[in-house]
Amino acid sequence: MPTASTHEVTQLLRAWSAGDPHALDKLTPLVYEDLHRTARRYMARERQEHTIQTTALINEVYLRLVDFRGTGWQDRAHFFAVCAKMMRRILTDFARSRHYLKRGGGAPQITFDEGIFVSREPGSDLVALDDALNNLAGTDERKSRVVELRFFGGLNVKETAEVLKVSEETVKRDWRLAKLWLLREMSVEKKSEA
Amino acid sequence: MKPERWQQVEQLCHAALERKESELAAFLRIASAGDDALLREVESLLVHQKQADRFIETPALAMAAKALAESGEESLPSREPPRWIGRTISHYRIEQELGSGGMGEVYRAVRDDQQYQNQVAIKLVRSGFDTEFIAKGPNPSSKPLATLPVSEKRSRAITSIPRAVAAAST
Repeated sequence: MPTASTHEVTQLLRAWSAGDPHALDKLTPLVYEDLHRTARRYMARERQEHTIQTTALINEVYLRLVDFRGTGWQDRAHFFAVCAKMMRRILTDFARSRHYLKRGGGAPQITFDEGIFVSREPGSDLVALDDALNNLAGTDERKSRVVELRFFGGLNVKETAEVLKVSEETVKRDWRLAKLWLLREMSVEKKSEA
Repeated sequence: MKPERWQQVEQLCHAALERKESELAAFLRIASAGDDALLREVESLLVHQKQADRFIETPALAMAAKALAESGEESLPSREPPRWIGRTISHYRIEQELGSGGMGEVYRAVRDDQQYQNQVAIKLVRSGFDTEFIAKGPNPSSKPLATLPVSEKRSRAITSIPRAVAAAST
């Protein structure tokens, strides 16, 4: 079982952000392994306490994966932006493979909200979101980044504002409008497929 | 959409989101001042407002963690992350996993260079050598199509079984 060494992941993240595409291939199993282990522990706790410690889970995954003190990574904003991008790639690729695998035994379904998106195949929602987000970047780059940082990176409003160097109010407004835009985009895609 | 137009749409949307539902229609009619295209654009966004309240509010990481945790003991730890799907090896694009067994995994792939439309099967064989991935050409004795970097301790050789391509190439 591969164990994510914090140092190794930090190095790989740095390589990936510098343009080495192979770094992501090496990152994926490490991040997954760690996420899986952390997730199990949190879900076990959730069953006992009936609360989802989302923020704690995300913080723990980040802290274990990346060395904040590492030289060259003092720029927290840059680190968060790279992490959000990595999570987007990894989770979307994962959803896409589930989509292709169809009913592969025990395939986890990643859907946004039960009842709203009843996907035909597991993971297709995340893939559709990724596509819609690419389209949004063409209309409004900053809004697509707000979504990437908040949804894929797990950042809160304050952290997102810090990364993008805008006010928290701007982040809130962007988030609100981006969601409407994405929902419309995704509903159009669904109709044209049907 | 031009940036100035998009800004107009945005402003009207935000203003509309402040209104009560009962006065929304009247507000939009007045605020759009006869610009029907603007009105339609804003309405087409606002129609998703209810869904938006819960949409992507849970971070993807938490959703994935939940899905992973609930996916059962054996489904993920033993499974390779999907690093092959969507990737190109030489001029073959890997599209789908067809099956797996003790010897390795078989993927469906298509030629990516518009030369042929043929589908091929690519088999990833567990080699046992801690070296590198080797993608072989149409027949197993031909020279490698590509050499890929090692990304984990257990490496695999990739051999294609492209009956259709082999036939088309000869």
